[in-house]
Amino acid sequence: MRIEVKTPDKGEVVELNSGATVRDAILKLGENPEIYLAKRGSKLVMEIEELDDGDSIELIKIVSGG
Amino acid sequence: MKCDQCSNDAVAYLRYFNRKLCADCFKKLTEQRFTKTITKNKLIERGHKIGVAVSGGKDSITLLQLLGQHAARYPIELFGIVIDEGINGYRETSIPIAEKNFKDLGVDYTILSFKDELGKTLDTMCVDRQRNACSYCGVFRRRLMNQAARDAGCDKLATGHNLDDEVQSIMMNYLRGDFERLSRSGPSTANQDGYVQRIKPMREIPEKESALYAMLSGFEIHLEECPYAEEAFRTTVRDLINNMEDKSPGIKFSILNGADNLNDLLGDKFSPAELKTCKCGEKTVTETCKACQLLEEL
Repeated sequence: MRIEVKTPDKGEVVELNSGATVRDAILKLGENPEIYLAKRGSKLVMEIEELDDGDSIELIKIVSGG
Repeated sequence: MKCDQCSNDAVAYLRYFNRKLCADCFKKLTEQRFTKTITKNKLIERGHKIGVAVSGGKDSITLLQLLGQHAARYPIELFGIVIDEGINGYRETSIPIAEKNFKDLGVDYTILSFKDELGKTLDTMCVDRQRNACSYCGVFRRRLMNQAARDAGCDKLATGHNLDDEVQSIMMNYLRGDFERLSRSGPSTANQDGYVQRIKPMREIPEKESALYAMLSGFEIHLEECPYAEEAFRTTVRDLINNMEDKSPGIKFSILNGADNLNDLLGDKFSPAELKTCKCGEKTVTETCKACQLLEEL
């Protein structure tokens, strides 16, 4: 299935197997789920939530310090 | 998916607990952790005036708001402290957020800037610099936070260090072999003349949960990453620890607990050094304080 993933830097469409989760989408981008919260539409979604084909999620990077 | 503690929809997944929580249960857990850290370490006493260092980021805003809840139940006074390092394109947007939160809570505050207090912004210091930005920023920011808290008559100075910050500092000290500095980590700094004791009530709240708490509470927060972050050794260590946490959930808490236990042993070996007075009037362990050493370099 195809999932659109928006990060602060870019937007990307990733191919994932049916039943894949938010966590799978983040890992597919080569990113670490520890530093992101995710939103589907206006709602926060947990990393264990399953995605549906055509879903669009937005990743919010939560690290800020130096 | 439903909350593991009630029938509401879950919004938070705590992987290290394998628990799903709704907004209310998650916020309650975070507030309990915050209060427990304060209580078990005796960080705040009745009648205390607490300086709160706020940048406008999620950790310091969550700290301020949680201390605001604390102040509604206990007789303590809060005083906000903002340090403007002079980072172009970064602080201009975060400081108004800090000010808005102070005003919403009715907390008095002060803003000290590197430019006014030290004569140069961090950006200016970083032109032709000999060190990375964090070396200057950390030393000068601590200096000004202490100065502001002391001038305002604060008993303690609270900072928004979260679990991730604490674990990164512990690992950096391990990796540098700096056990003396490691012995100084913990929920509070030593109580020494000239220094307002710093406390870290957020140290058992993971960074991701600090952000989630702020967002679920509807706090206005600044989520930009510091433009100098990429060059910091801390960032390398942060990535290392986050990779370990992803493979072994709970390892951040293990590292923190291990270091706290180790500190009980190290405390005997490294007792606080006797302080001298630097030419600038500040207390220091060496003849010249670190801030004056850096200012001479600049």
